[in-house]
Amino acid sequence: MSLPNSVLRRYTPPTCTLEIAAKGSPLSRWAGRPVLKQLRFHLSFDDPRLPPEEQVQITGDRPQLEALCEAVERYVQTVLGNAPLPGQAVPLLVESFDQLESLPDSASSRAENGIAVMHPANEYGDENNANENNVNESYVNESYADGSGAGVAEIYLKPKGLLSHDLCLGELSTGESNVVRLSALQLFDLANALDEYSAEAIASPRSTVSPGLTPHPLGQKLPLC
Amino acid sequence: MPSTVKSPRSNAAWEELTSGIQPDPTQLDNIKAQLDLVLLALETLAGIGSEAMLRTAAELNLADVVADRVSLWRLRQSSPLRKGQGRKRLDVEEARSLVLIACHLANQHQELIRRAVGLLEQLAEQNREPHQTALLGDYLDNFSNAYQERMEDGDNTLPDQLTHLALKLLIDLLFYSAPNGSRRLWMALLDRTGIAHSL
Repeated sequence: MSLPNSVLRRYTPPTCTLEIAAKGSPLSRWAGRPVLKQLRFHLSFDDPRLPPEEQVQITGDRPQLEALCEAVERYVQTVLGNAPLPGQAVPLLVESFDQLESLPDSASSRAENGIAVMHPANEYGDENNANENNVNESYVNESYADGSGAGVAEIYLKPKGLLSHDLCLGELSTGESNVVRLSALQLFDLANALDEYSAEAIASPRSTVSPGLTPHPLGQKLPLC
Repeated sequence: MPSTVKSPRSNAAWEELTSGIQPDPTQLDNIKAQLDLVLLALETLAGIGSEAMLRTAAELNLADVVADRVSLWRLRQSSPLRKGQGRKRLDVEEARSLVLIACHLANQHQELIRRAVGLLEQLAEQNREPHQTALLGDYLDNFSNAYQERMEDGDNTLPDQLTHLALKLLIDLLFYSAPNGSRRLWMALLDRTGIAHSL
């Protein structure tokens, strides 16, 4: 797949490759940092267990990339926020290792009924369940509060046990695949690639953050011209 | 080992996340408990002792908060999960320091953490128990022993629960080992206490 513009950045953690292509703007020299326009991204998941024809590749534009960044970062934070605490009113999960990991590879569709999905909040009580259940909704309702991602079909993730996660591609679906099963390492690498991109390409002025948004680095806008 | 300090990618962003946070005593208890568990996982996976933690504190210019073994022990002991009385109160600045130390150490040991998680994934795919490998088996044993020895409910926690806790902490550690790990851990701590939602 060729990108129309020159590739400006390539992030290559072990299990994925994120390429950012864009036209540089003359404003870059005034801004002292890259100011990009007509940004496109290309993300490929490099999974040695899959044959070449099954390697998942995603391409999209800036709002889609931002939506992906937002979805992944929020999801990672949600998963980390569910740290178990033994000995308190919050009980530990009691699922055995076998139960956690016995999901077949093709289980993605089964997750819809909620049975195949194990997430740490399940045992925590109503309040946390409510938070967890609202996660997907929040991607839609909050992620694009600043309008930058308007029109992007829902991109979200859901847990498939402690070690795997389904990335639902929404508008980024390629036709063949609309769900990518990520291992913990793949999610980690994807989150880091996206975070690196965000840290490099995002505008630094805090004033671009819409008032009322929760403090979040990804809430800042890319310097477009 | 001399090291370049860059745990939080942006100091300004980090300051913004940590300033103005005033957890109530229950929330602080929760934060203390989680931080102690994260450090326990690091300790038992990578064999990190108090020496390494103190060295890291010095590297990060946090020696005034974590000066010596005793002060570190008192900070760790402040977890409500711990056995013993006379807990020290841990303030936000101390919690922040422990976050930076934990993530710096996780970053230094990222390769090992990554290998452990990768191994866990392989075993899970083959439907095999994590105990079957030396790295994970040792970690789970060390973690369980340390937990039972130090925590009030240690003797009443089922082995399966300890295994699950240890594995969850291991996977979390991977995410804390990233360059933005400090922010992730701090936000996770606030998330768990409900503080993040009120920001």
